[in-house]
Amino acid sequence: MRRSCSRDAAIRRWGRSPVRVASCCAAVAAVALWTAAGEPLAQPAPPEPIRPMASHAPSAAVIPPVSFTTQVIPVLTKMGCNSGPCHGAEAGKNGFALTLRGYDPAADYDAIVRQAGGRRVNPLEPARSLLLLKPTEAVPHMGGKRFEPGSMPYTVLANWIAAGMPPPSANDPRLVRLEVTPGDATLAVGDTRRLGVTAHFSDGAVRDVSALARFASADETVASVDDRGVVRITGPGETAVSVSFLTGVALTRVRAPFPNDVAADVYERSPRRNLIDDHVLAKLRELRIPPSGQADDHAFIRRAYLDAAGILPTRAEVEAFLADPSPDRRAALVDRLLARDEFVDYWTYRWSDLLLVSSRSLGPANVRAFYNWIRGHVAANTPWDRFVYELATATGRTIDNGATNYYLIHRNPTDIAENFTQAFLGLTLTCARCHNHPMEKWTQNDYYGFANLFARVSMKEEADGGGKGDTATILSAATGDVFHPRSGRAMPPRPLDGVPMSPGSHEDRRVYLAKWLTGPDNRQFARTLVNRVWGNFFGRGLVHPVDDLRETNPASNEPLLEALTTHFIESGYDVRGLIRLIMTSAAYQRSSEPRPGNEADDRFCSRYLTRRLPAEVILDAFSQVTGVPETFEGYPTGTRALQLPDTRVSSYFLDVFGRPARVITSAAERMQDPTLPQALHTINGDTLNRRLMADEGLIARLVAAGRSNADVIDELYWTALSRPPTAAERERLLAALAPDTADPAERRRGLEDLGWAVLTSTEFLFNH
Amino acid sequence: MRRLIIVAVLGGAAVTTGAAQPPAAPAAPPDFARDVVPVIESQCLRCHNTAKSEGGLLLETYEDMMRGGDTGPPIVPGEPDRSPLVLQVEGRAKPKMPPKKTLSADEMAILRAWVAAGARYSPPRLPHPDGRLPAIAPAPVSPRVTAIAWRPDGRELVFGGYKELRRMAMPDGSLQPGWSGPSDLVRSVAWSADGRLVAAAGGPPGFFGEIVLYDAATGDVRARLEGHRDYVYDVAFNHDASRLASCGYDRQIRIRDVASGRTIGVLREHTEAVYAVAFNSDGTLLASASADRSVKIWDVETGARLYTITDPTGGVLTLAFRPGTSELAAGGNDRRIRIWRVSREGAEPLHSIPAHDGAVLRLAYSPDGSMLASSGADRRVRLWDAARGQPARLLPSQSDWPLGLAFSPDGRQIAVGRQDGTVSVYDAGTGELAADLVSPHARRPAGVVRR
Repeated sequence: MRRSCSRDAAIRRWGRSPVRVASCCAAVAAVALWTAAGEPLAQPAPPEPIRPMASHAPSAAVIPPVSFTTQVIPVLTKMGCNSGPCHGAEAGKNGFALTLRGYDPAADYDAIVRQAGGRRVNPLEPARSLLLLKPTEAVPHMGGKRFEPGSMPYTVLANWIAAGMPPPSANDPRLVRLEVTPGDATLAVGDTRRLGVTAHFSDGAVRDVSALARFASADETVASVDDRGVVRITGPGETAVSVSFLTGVALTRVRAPFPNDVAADVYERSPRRNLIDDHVLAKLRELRIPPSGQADDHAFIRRAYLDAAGILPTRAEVEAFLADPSPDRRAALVDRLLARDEFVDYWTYRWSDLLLVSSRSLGPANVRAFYNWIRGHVAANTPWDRFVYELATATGRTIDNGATNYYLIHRNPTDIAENFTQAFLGLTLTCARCHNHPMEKWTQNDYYGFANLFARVSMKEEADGGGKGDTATILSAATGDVFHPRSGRAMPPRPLDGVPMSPGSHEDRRVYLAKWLTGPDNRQFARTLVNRVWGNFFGRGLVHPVDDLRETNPASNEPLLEALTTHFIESGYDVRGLIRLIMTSAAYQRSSEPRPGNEADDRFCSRYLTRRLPAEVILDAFSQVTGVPETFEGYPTGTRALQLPDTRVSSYFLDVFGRPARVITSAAERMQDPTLPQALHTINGDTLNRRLMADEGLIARLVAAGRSNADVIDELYWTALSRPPTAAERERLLAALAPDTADPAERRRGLEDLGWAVLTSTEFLFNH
Repeated sequence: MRRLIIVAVLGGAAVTTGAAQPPAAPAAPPDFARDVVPVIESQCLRCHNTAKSEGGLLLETYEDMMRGGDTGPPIVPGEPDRSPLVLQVEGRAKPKMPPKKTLSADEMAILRAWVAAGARYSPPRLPHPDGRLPAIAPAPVSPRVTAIAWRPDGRELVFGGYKELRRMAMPDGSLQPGWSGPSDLVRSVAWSADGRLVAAAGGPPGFFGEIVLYDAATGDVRARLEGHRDYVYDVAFNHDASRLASCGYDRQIRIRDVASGRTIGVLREHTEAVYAVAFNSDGTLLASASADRSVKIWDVETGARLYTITDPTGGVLTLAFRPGTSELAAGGNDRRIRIWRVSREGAEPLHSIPAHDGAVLRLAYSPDGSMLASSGADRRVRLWDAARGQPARLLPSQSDWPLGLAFSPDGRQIAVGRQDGTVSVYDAGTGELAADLVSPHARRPAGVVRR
C-alpha cells in the first residue's frame, strides 16, 4: 500500500486532514520594488502569433522555437490540465493521463503525441488537434472550457504542434531560479499589486513567465492572489504569496498593519527579558498590534506547570510561589520545574509521540527499552544533535540499545526516510515517492537518493517468541540499495540538498546522514526543533502547522525563528535551555486576556493563546485534583497517563480526547478539536463521575473530615484552578449548596456536583 | 453532452439520402437531422445511449432507432398511431416516456409529423471542425503510418495516409495515386481475403469515426460507414468478407453486414477505448482488445459476449489469431505478449512473454502461422517462433514507434510503418532491411525492394 494512502487513512481516522504540503524551492530572489498603485508591472510578453496559413510553403515561415519542457508543460500546468482532479490523476481522465503537474515531460510527450493512436495532435492540420479542440470546447470536454482560440495557452500549444511537436530532450535548459517582483511589502487593506515572475534558465536565458506561473496565498484572510498574479490585501496581518513555475518556487511577503492607533511608547514600555521579546515587539510594532499585559502569578504558575510538565501545581506550591518576595521568582520557578521528574515524563512522552513508540509494532520489552532510552536522554538533557545522531546511527540489540527500535518500527527505507524527515526536518517527502513533489522542489530522484541512506540497515531477529517486534539486532550492512521505481536503478545516497556520497565510499550511510543532519550547514534541523518547542508553549508554531517547514509556508516571525535557531545552535542544542529562554520571556508570560486591538491576533504573540489541554494532561489533572488515580491495564495503579510508554494502552478517555496513535509522524495525529463524544463523556462518562463520587476522593474526604462548604469550595478552586474563588463566586456557590448542617450524604451529592462543574469548566480544561 | 450521429450508407443500398428531398417548404414535414435529432438528443439520449441503453433501445443513430430494442422497432414509418415511440411520448401508451418529464407540445408534434411523413432519414449534420478553426500552417511532416496491409496477391501495399489511402505497387515500391475518401487520418486498413474490398478506418478524433469501404479493383468508394462516435482504431473482415468488425475510442464494437453496410450488432461492454478486433479463422468468434485491460471473446452470430480474459495488467492494444489455429495473441501496455487457446467455452493460457521494453503496439502472424511479429514502444520489432513462444529474430532498431506491421502473403517479408511516416520492408527470414520505401518528409518512395 502506498504511503500517502495509509497516511491519509490513518489521519482520517482521527478526523483530521493532514496539513502536509512540504516545501522547498529554488533560490528565491525577491527585489523590493512595489510600485505606487494599480497593476503596473511587467506585462507578460505576448506570445508569438500563430503563423497564418498564408501559403502551404511552411519552410518559408519562421517558426518560433517552442520548447515542450519549458513552454508546453507550463501551459498545461497553468491551465490545470495536469492537476490532480484532471488528467494529472493516476488514471488520467477519459483515457488521457498526464504526469502530475508535468513532472515527467517524456511521459507527457508520449501521452500527447503517441498514445491512444496519436489522436490528440494533428500535425498536418494543427487546428484540428484535440489538444486544442477539447480545452476550447470545440468538441465536448468534461473539463469545460479552459481557454479561447487565439489566447496565450492556445497559441503556445498551436505553435508547438505547428512546429512539428519538438520532443523534450535531455539538453533542455533547466530552471535555475525564479525571481518575483516586487519583493516584501507593507501595504494597506484593499491595495492590489501585480506580481511579475522571471525565470532564469541554465542556458542563460531569462524569461518573463508571469503569465505561466501559478500563485497561491498562504493566508487568504490577509491577501488573496488571482491566477494573473494580482495580489489583493484582504485583511490586516502578514502572509506570503508563493509563486511556482516548473520545479521552482519563490515567495514574497505582504503585510498590512492592523487599523489600530497604538501610542509609540507602548512597545518601549512593554517588558523585555530576552531576545524573544525584542523580535516579538518589533513584529507587533510593525503590524500595530498592542501587546496584552503580563499574566498574574496565579495564571503564570498554572500555565507554566501545565505547559512544561503537564501537571497542575498543588495548593501548597501555588501558595509558596505567591509568598516568594523575590523579584525573579518566576525564573526560579521555571528552574525548579525543569528539574522535576514530571518535566522528564512530559517531554519523554512528547518525543515518544515523535518517534512513534508503540506496541503496534514493538513487543513490550522493546517499547520499554525505546522509552527508557528516550527518557534517559531527556533526564540528562542530552543535546538534541547528539540525541538524534545516536538514534540515526543506532546499532545493537533492541533491548540493550533502545534507539535501535526505531529500525524495528520502520522496516523499509522509504518509511524511515519519510518519518525521519518529518520528525527532524519538518518536511513531507511522501509525494515524491511516486512523482516529483507537485508544489515543492523535491523530485523523485531526491526522494530515492535520500531513502537510499537507510538502505543498509540489517535486522537479525532472535527466535525468542516469534511475535512482532521481539528482540532483534540492528546492524549496518555492507550492501543494499533502494531502487528508483521509474529507472529501476539505485540513486547515489544523498541527503536533501546535500552532497551525495562518493560511489566508492565505505562509510556507514547512516553515519554520513547523521553527520549531515547535525552538521553546521543544516540549520533546518535546529529550526525544526525550535519550532516544535515553541509550539508547545505558544499553542502554535512560529511556522504552523508545527511540522510543516516547507519554504512556501512562512514563519509568522521569521527574524525571531532565525534568532532562536542561532541561539539554539550556539547553546549546543540545549533543549532545556531553549525551554527556559521561552518560559522566561515576557512574551510567554503575557496575559491571555485580549485588549482592544489584539483580539484578532492568533500568531504574533500579543497575548497568550488559550487552548484545550492535551488528553493525557486532563486525565492526570482529574486524578490529581480528586486524589483518585487512574488504573491502566498492565501498569501499577498511580501511573499517570503521561508516564505511559505506549499509546495503545486502552483508555476510552484518552482516545476520545485525541491522543495520537503514533502510526505516522505528524502533528495532525494529536487531535485537539472538540467533539460530541468528548462532551457526552464528561457529562455521563465514568472517568470524572467515578472520581467525584469515590469514597476515597477529595469530596468524600473533605466531607468526612467535617470541612465546611466554604472550605470545600476553596480547596477545589486552589487545586483545580490554582486560585481562590472570588467573593462573588463563593457567595453564589454557597447559596446553591445544602447547608453545612445538612445530612452528610446529601451535602456530598451537592458538593460532587460542584466538583463536576469546576472540573468541566472552560477555565479548568483550558490553559490560559 | 451527448451527440447523435447519423449513419449514412453511400453506394450501398439501404438508406435513402436527403438529397432528393425538395427544399423545405413551410408546410414540409419535419427534417430528421434538423428537427428530430435535437428532440431525441435533449429528451431521450440520456437513457438510450451506448452506456445505458434502457430497454435495449439505442437512439444514437438513425439505424439504431429504426432497429429498435427489446420490444421491437419503436417506429412504423407513416403510421404514428402504431409507433410506440410516438404513443409513449404522447402518454397514450405505457410506459410513458420519458418517465419523469413530458415533452413540449411542439416536440411531440415534430415526432408525430415526422413519423407520419415516413420517418425519413436526412443526411447528417456531422459536427465538423472545418471552417470554424483558425488556420495554422503545419511543419513539413509526413502523415504517420499507423496501419499497413498487403493485397492478398502480394502485389500492392496500402497504408494509412491523411485524408487518403496510400498505395504502393510491390515489389517495385512505386507509389500509386492515393484513394481519397477519408475525412481525417486513416488509422487502420484491411483487405478482404478475396482481395476485392479494402476498408480504411479512422475519422476526426473527438468528432466521429468512419470507415471507407473501397472497391479494390477500381478504388471507388463502395460505402462510407459512420456510426462510431469517435475515432475508429481497428477494422477487420471475417474469413469470407461477409462481416466487418470495427472498434474505437467510443468503447463500441460494431459488426456489420458487408453487403448491405447495415450494423447487425453493437457490442458495448468494454469500459474504455477498444483498440483492436479480430475474427477467428471460421468467423464464429470475435476477439476485442481494450484499454480496460481486458480481452473479450464474442459470438459473432448473436453478438453475445462469451467471456472476458483479464490476465493483462495494462491496456491491451493489439491482438491477432494465429492462422489455422485457435490461438489468440494479444499485447499492450504490460509489455507482454500473451497467447491463449480460445474456444467458445474459454481461454487456456499458453504463453506469457515479456516481449518489449515498452508497450507492445502491434502483433502480426505470418500467413502460415509459423511466425509472430511484434512491435513495441521501445522502437523494436521482434520475430517469435509462434508455436513455442520463443524469440527468433530482432529487426534493426526503428526510427519511431512501429505502428503498422504486416507479413507479405508469401510470408517472406514484413512491412513496417512508423509514427514518423516512414515505411520499410524487412526480410522475414534474416530480419534484415530489404528496403526503405518511404523516407522522412518524403511522399515519394526512397528506394526499391532488393530481391
